[in-house]
Amino acid sequence: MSKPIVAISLFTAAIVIACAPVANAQAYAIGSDARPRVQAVPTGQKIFTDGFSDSSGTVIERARHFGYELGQTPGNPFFTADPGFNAVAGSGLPTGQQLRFDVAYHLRRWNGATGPVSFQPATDSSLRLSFGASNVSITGSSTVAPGFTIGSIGSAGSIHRHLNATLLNPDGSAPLPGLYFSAIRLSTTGGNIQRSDALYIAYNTGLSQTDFNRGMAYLASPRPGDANFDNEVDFADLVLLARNFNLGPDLSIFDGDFDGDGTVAFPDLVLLARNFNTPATLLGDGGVAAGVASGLAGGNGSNFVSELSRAAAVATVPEPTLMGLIAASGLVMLRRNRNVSPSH
Amino acid sequence: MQTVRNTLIVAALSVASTSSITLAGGPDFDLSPFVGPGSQIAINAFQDDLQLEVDNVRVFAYEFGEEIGQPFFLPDPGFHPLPGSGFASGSLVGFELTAPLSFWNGVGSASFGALPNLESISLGFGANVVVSGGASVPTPAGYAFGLIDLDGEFDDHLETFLLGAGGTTSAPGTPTAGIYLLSLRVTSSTPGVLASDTAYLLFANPSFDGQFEEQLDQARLFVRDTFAPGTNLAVVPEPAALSGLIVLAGFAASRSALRRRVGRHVGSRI
Repeated sequence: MSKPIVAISLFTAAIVIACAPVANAQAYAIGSDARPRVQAVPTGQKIFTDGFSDSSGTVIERARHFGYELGQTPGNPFFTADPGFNAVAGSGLPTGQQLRFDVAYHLRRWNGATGPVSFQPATDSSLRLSFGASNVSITGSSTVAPGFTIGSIGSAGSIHRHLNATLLNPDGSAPLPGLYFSAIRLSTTGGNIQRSDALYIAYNTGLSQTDFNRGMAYLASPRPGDANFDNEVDFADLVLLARNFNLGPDLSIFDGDFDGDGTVAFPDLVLLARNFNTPATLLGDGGVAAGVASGLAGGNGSNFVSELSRAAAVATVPEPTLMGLIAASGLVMLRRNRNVSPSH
Repeated sequence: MQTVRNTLIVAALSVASTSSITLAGGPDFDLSPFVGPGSQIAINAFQDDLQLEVDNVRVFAYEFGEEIGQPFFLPDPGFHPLPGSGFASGSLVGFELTAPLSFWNGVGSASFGALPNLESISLGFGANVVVSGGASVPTPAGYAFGLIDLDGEFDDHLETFLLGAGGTTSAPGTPTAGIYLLSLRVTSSTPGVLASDTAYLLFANPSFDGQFEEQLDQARLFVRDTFAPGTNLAVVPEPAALSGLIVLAGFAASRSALRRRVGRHVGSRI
């Protein structure tokens, strides 16, 4: 590579790194319906959601994280009739088409323990979403799976339906206390409207309101680089990122899209690198500031490149993607060395 | 907490003659119970999408076949006490069936009698389910399910399945086409609050391609006039007016206009 090209690359890298966005804190809603609506995007039209509280009338714009309390009625300790989907007239959803959802992520649980919020796969429980005879069960090892039709979109784009959610253990025992979550995507049957970004649906059983909120806050704004919401930015996250590197356009945090642009690319790698192997945080907002500071201080391991190569191998990414990852990692390391070795 | 609710003010329509009114079709109404005179539960009708409320309603009608791929399932009836309902926060609202399920085949004058083929209707909410056949009222006859919030409100819908002989919806137990009548009282765990008078739920089973709207209208009028005289039937406005209301409802919802039970009103009634 000639010197001018190297210089241009470094310059570009510096700009990219400097501009690498940190995912903004996302609003979360507790006890609210999701209010789908159609909005124009550069590539057409897409489903977005707001949060809407039936009881208070409060609207939370662009909400994608919805929390619910289980067991509010006698005889139903692990049940709630949520999430609700409440699109109003003028939503832009096409009348006559059907609104449906599909499962986008497996079931994870935080036990509410003292210390950082850390969601782990829910190995013992499953979340059953149903509407009439239609149902789907989401487990700790579920992957992307078909959901079912929620209902027909009515006059002027309105629809109001509630799914039933039941948390259960296969052996009939009571699910462990904790905050459980999965993710779904909304779509319409016509095919001309892009599906929604991932909507996170979380259910609390047995945690205090404070911990419920803590869990929701972390779910909505995890540490950049934490693709599996365990509050660690480590090899597992790197594998997820590598698996989806250079893919898009509607990927999510759990795919490795940390900057929220729908793609997994170099800026996401930068965000992950900044927090790689740094300690978990107690900050409810995801510890963005702390994470960035500690990451750039160089305390997160000098073996990032080798780990990246290993992650790419585990993720079995195609060779062009691997080359892209390695090149990107080199740029990340250049940036890191400049920050951690000021005396050289 | 400040209560937010949107209401469209629609002129009340009182019709003395009941001979040529189209009642069925359009959005379904929820039961909207509240603590009425004498601490007894009274029931209005409330339409969520249009935010329409009709006073003093005890006959509600629903039609199977509206859910894609689930011809014998309905996410109704809904129960939606409004803010200021009078129910205590944290209390529960429920129902209890008061009579066995009965049936009219839609032929001739409305008249409800025995089930033709051992049909039954199940009403579920989570793990709570009661199944009513034609022989007797089940035991228990209902359950509590709706948790009243700080404003006196909740909005929950039961899941209703129409089952044929043997508790199945498939042949040979496919439920017979016709109209099914279920009777229930609304109950509350609020101390001192008495159960409502009987409310009547009509479920039309058009069996895929039948047209039962006219018969459903007849049934509503018959049941109202026979069992609940002096009450109103909730209707939605004519399509032209309805489209305007839908737009208004969306507009009103976006403004999140404030609303309380005091000063509310009123959808069309008959």
